[in-house]
This record gives sequence, C-alpha cells and structure tokens, in this order.
Amino acid sequence: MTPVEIGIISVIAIVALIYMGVYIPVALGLVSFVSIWIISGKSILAFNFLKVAVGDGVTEYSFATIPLFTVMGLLVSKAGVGTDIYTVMNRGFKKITGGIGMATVGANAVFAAVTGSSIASASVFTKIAVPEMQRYRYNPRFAVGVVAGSSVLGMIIPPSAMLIIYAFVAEQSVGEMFMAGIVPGLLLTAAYIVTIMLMGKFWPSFVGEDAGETDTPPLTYAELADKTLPISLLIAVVLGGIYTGWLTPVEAGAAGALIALVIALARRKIGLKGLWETTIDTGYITASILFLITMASLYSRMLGYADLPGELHAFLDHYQFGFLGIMIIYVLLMLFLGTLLDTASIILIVVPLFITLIEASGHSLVWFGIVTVIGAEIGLLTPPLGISCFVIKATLNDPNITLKDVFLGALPFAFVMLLVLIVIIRFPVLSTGIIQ
Amino acid sequence: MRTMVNGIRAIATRLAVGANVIGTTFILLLVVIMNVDVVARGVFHAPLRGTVEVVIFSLVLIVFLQLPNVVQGGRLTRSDGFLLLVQSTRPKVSRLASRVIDAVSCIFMALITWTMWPEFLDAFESCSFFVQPEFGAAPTGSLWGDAVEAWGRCDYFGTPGVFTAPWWPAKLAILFGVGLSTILFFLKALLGTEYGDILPEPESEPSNSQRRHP
Repeated sequence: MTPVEIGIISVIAIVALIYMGVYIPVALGLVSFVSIWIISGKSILAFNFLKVAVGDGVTEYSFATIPLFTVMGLLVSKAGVGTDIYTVMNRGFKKITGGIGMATVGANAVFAAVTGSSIASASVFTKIAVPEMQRYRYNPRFAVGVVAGSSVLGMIIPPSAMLIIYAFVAEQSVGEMFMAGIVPGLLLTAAYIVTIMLMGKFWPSFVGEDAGETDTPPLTYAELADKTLPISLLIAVVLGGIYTGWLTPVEAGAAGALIALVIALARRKIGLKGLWETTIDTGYITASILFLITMASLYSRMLGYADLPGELHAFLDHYQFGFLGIMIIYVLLMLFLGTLLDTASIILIVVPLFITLIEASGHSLVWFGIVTVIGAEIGLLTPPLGISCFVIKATLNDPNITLKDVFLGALPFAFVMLLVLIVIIRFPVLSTGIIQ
Repeated sequence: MRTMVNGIRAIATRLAVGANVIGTTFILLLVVIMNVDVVARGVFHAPLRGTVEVVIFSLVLIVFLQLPNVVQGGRLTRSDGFLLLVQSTRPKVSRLASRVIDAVSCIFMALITWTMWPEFLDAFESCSFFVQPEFGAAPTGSLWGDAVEAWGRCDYFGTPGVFTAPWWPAKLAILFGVGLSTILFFLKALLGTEYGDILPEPESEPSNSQRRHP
C-alpha cells in the first residue's frame, strides 16, 4: 500500500471509530500512531511523533485562552447575566409577532459575546425562553427551534471555543479569529431575526396561531442599568481589549474571568464553594480540549507524513474542480460529517486535509476558519447527532416536546445558517474586513 | 483478588482527586498572575517577568494533573450517540463495546507512558542530583548546598536571565497523568463499569451537558 492509501484508510478509520464511541483523542492518536508505524516501517518514528505530541503539545502560550475563557463563561452563566439580557431584549421586541423569538436571538447574540459555548447558551435559554414562549401560546416547535438555532451563535461570536480550536489547527492568531467572527455572527443574528419576522407574516402556523403579546412590565432606568452595564463592561474589556491590541487574547480572558467573578460575587450568586466547583469544571473542560488538541496535532503530522493534503490538492487540481467546486465539496463534506461527529472533531479532522490547498490558492485562512466553524456548526442542529438539540431536550424535561419536535423546529434555522454560510463564502470581506 | 483490585481502585481514585485539586489551584493561579501582569504593565509600566513561562508551565500541570480525573469521570471527549442507541436496544452489546473501548484506551495510554518515561528520566538526570556531574564541581556532601547547585544544572525552559524553570517537574506531571490514566482505564475495562458510569469518587457529579463538549 502507498502512504497515501494508508492515510485515506486512517481518516476513514478515525471517523468510524469516533462514531462508534471511541474517545476522540484515543481514536485520533492511536490510528495516527499505527499509520506512522506502517508507513515508515519502523516503530521508532511512531514513538517519536507520539513523544513530541504529548511532551510539547500543550506548551503553547495561547492555549491559556481555553481555561480562562471557560472560567469566564461559566461564571457569567452563574451570575444570571443571560436572564438579564433576555429581559431587556424582551421589552424591546414586545410589540412584534414572534417578538419573544427575536428577543431570544438577540439575547443569545449578546450572551455569546461573553461565553464560548453553544451548550451553555442552549441550556440557559431553554430554561428562560421556552417556558415563556409556551405561556404566550407560541408553537412549541418554534420555541425550541429558536433556542436551538440561536445557540450556535455562542460558537461563532467571539470568544468562542471553536474559533480557538481552529486557530490552533491552522496556526492562525486567536485574536484575529475572534475579530473575524464578529461580522458573520452579527449577520447570522440579523438573518435569524428577519426569518422570524417573515415567519410571523407568512407562516403563522409555525410561530403559533394565537401567539399573544407579552406583558413584560416596563423597566426602570436603575433596573436597565443593573441589567446591561455589567455585561457591557465585560464585552468592552474583552473584545475592546483584543481589538485595540491593548490585551492579548490570553490577558483578555484573564481580565474577563476576574470581572465575571466580581459580578457573580457582587450579586451573591456564587460563594467560595461555587467558585471552586466552577474552577474544577473548567479543569475538566481544559484537560479534555487540550488533550484532544494534542492528539489532533499527532494526526495532522501523520497526514503530512503520508502527504495526503498534497495528494488531495493534486487530485482536485487534476480534475479541474475549480475553487467553487472545492468549496462545494468542502461544505458537503462538513454537512455529511455533521451527521456523524461533533463540531470540534469535524474541525480537527477536516482542516488539516484542506489547509494546504486553501493556502496555495491564496485565500485567507482566517476566512476559511469562519467558513469551517459555521459549516461544522450546522451539524449541531441536524439529526442524528445535533448536540444543541439533545441539550435542549435534556434541559427541558417535558414529555410533550419530543426530540423530533426539537429537530423539526431547528430545521428552518439550520437552512438559514446554510444560506448565511454561502454569503460568507461568496464575500470573504465579511470575515476579513475588520482585520485589515 | 477482589479486595486487591478494590484497594488499587481506592488509591487510584484518591490520587486522581488529589491531583485534580492541585491542577484546579493552578487555574486560579493563572487568573491571578495574568491579572497582576495586566495591571502591572498597564498601570505601572512594569510587566511581570516570566509570565509566558509560568503560563506554559501551569498549562502542562493543569492538563496532566486533571487528566486522570477526567478519565475516571468518563468525561474524556467522545461522541456517544451510537453507544446510547445500542444501549437502549442491546444493553449487553453496549456494555461490551464500552469495555473494549476502555481496554483500547488503556493500551494507548500505556504507549504514551512508555514514551514519556525516558523523557522524565533524561530531564531529571540532567540535574545530576547527588552524583558527580559531567561539568562542574563534585558534590560537597552538604545536602542543601548540593541540591541548590544541582537545581541550577537542570535542563530548563524559558529565557536565561529573564526566567527559567527546570523541566523535570513538568515531565513528572505528564508521566504521572498518563500513567494514572492508564491504570484507571485498565480498571474501567476490568470492572466493566456501565457505559457513562464513573469509577466511584467522593462528591462527583457528572453533568451530561458538559461531558462531551466544551
């Protein structure tokens, strides 16, 4: 067998093993280790690759963004900031059909700017927004669909765990990836809001035939300030700090974590015990992600050794797919993998295969990252493994709303995501504009 | 036999929990150090020396001291749709698959431990604690004086003159983390915990929402 054939078999084996439930870092690491051994015919090289991956895998300053932004996100969730934004937004969208839906989308977008995880968004807003929409006789499918759809904003609007993971795989700056995520994130937010508006007009049966106007009481200025100032400060420090270059992403994460802690403490939402538990959770998440990244680096070295990215490039060149053709193949591949794997695995598996190709074609790797993250995130909403949908179903704990309802409700939003993805592919400036 | 396995299990889980406490402390330390650095630089124009090195060092400790606890709690990243599906229709098959996966993971972690052992030894022996070093003075016999001398000889990371730290404690943490994970995977495969189950540990609360995903 040629190295390339072994490489192709390895990629397929990894996808199959992960699907069967093997721990993702183990699948990536073990298959890569065995492939390197087979290709080189010597065990020493395989052991050396493994040694370098584990020994030097986490010794990278910017990896510190992961624990810091995780701790910040968990603290912010505990501080009840999500509920605050939602209340404010709800008041703003009070008079419109589907208003609570738009408020949920808007609140999710703001919440996304202080957390990096769709899971956090999905569970927080399932608890707040779904019961409220049911109270005002919205269609349950619409209610869960809105929450599922808007939860993906958590991983596109910075800070975002997926943008960080991509930055590592593609060797891009975390700060630039964050900045590039802002406009596409806002674009998707706007697209969702417009979609809900159009649904209210042309598809009222989906939104809820007799959905009523909410009777949110008006907010006093003091309440408004209390609900918006802390989060504004947090966003200003984190994103402002990175944008002006005053803070590195790592420093911004640390400063954000401290501010989030102060907010949570000031509101008496957290004590020493709560802080310790939050930090332990952060540790679990950090160790899992970084161990995963370590093994992904072994995988991408294996691919390079088998020269699979180069061969893929040559293959696509030979059959003259053209850049448009390549992007179509890429998006279809991600949609397909989205039905089998979770977002992080898709990014870690697919990006090393295509990155040489994109770089050679002279396109921006930052733009490619945004395309990848959004493309891989569509899988969060589609069956059978739409994790956002699972989280919503689990958090909701309501036998009247089935998993099928959640998936069907999320489907229109997955479709809107795909449309936005096409726009972002067509107009790279949407992603790269803010950096230049 | 059973009591021995249980004894090993008790020790292994206790070690994992203990290591977790140290790792968690380093996360808090990371937040504090970075903030002190930002304030020192922004307000007093005097950044801390060696922040980057301390951050990297903490990362190694955080990851590898937490890893055993992650393994034990069944929180290592996986995509479990298929296993859950099988569990509902053929529970026996699902349980067997879980054990096989844990056994394979045990082998993989053992491979890593095998490669990291000489790494740690090299880093540690570079200090030549209590033996005649290749260069420099022979041990004087004064325990403290020799230890300080040796500490200075260790393979280090960082920039000389700014901040350096010996490599071996970091390598030891890696070795400890992967070694203990090997043992924990072995126990899981041996005892055949239910899919998603954890090896018992005081006050553990596996939360589904965060197990698979950041």
